[in-house]
Formats: sequence, C-alpha cells, structure tokens
Amino acid sequence: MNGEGWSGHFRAWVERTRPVAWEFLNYRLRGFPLFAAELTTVMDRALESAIRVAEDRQRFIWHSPEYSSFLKWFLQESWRCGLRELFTLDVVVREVERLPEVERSLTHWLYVDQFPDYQLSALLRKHPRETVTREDVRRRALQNYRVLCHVIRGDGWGYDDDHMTFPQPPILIGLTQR
Amino acid sequence: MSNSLPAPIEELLSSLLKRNTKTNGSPGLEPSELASVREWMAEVVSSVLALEAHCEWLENAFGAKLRFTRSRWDEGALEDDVLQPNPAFPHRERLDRETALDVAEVGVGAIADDELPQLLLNPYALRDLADLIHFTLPDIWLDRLGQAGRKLRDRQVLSA
Repeated sequence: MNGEGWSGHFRAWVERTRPVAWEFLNYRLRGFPLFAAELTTVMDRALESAIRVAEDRQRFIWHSPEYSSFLKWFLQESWRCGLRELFTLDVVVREVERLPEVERSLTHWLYVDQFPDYQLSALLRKHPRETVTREDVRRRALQNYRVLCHVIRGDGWGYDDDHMTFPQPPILIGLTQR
Repeated sequence: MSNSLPAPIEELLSSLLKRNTKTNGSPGLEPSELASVREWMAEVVSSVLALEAHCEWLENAFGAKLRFTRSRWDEGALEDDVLQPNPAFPHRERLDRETALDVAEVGVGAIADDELPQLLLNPYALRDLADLIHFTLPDIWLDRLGQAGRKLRDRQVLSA
C-alpha cells in the first residue's frame, strides 16, 4: 500500500461488502418480535452508520490495509451500529420509557455507547472510595438486561420456546465461553 | 418472511422423509443425489432465506415446532437456561464440535456421505451450522454469504 492509504479502494470495498453485511445483520437481528416489522429500517440505518464510521477511519491509513481485514471490521462495526440503531425505534424507546429511571442510562451505555468494563466501572462508581470490579459491572449489566426483558415480555426474561426477547448487550456476550 | 423451497429440493426432501420412515430413521441417498444435496446444504447454512424455508418445510413435515435454542457459537449470560430441542423431530442432535468446525473451515465436503440424509432432516443441526458460519464468518463462506445477502435484499426491495 502506498502513502495514500486505502482510500482509493474504499467505495469498491464498501459495495463488495454490502451484501455480506446484509445477510450477516439479518441473521443476527431476525427473530425478535419487538422490532421484526422494522428490521429493514434498522439494517439500512446500521449500514449507513457503519459506512460513515468507515469513511472516518480512512484518516488512519493503516486501519484496514487489506480488503479481508476491512470486511471483517466492517461487519462487526455494522453489528455495533445495528444495536445502537435499535434505540432510535419508537417501539424500543417506548419500552425504555417503562424502565425504572435508574436503568435507563445504563441501558444506553450498554447498547448505544457499548462501553467496555473499565469505563462502565467509572460510570457506576458513586464515590471515589467505591470499588466496582469487572464482575460487579457484568452483574449489573445482566441485571439491567433482565429488567429490560421483563419490561418487554411482561413475564420471564431472556427467551422462551420461540424466540429471544431482545439482543444481549455486547458486554454479556461470550461471558461463559467454554 | 415466508418463502418456499425450490421444487427439486422439495421432491428430494419428500422422498427422504418416506425413506426415513421406512428405515426407522436411517435413510440413505442415491449417489446421483449427493452433489445436489451438498449444494443445497451449503445454501441452507449460508442463507437466512434458504434456512427459514428448509426449517418451515421440516416443521410442516413433522408437525412440530422448532424451539428456540441458544447458539453454542455465541454463548452469553443465558447459558444456564438452554432449552431442549423439540423431541418431535426425529433428528435433532447437533454435529459434534470438530465436524462443525471442519464444515466452517472447508465447507460441506467435510460431512460424510452417510451423514447427509439425517442432517437434511435435522433443523437443529442445520441451524447450528448456520449460526457458526454467520457468527464466525469464515473466509471460504464469504462469497456465499454475499450471494445470500443479494437475494435477501432483492426480496425485501420487492416486498417493500
């Protein structure tokens, strides 16, 4: 790659990646009744958001020097954007409004900001002497997810025979990998 | 999104279902059927549309509902609550982990000929492979995922 970075390939790479991202996002976001009717909208918005982020990343010339790394990065970014876009849908906003006030911001930090453990720890700490460990953060995230699912379903949480209630926040995914 | 199977696949599955009953759950395939079965299986595990059509067909054929089960490739905090597959499906075990990973790495050629017929009638194993491919995005599957995405997009544009 020369000094101009990967900008010269950018448009072609985005167009080549778009169909893969469409299948990937559809697979990950389908099967949630709460927003099933707006799945196409979410995917369109997620892809456009991911493209905007990718446009920004062109400033970093070694960010994605090869197509294969760009593709994998873009798919993960589109998933991140998809989760974020869910919280712009009226059907989801209405559910968030029903959450206890103390949970609303945390829900956004988990899904919209997708903060990692150490930043959530800083946000959850109430005073300088308090220690909020990684385990505390994840316990709190799981509690938040359960409350969100309870609000959406009215009973139980997580999933039932037919479907999952809502995508898990990224911080909880992979927690119990064997 | 309701969709239907290609006619030759539907015929093949109907025939396989009869053989499954006659052989008490151990149907075989004719050598002439293998290539088209492998091709269809590759499509099923890389395409939301094909997977849904195939699973809907199996649900109708067995008069059973495919229960939600958590994916072992995307494990999370809900692991303790994993639901059991619906026993109304005669074939419901997932492929062993190593074989599934082989499929992700080298394609459906990693599945032995004599495992193919049961796998075609097993919605849980097919969905498990689809999960693996969609969550881990192996290089050899990317072209197929792209083809599937184009079909999906065309369909959604048409139905909009």
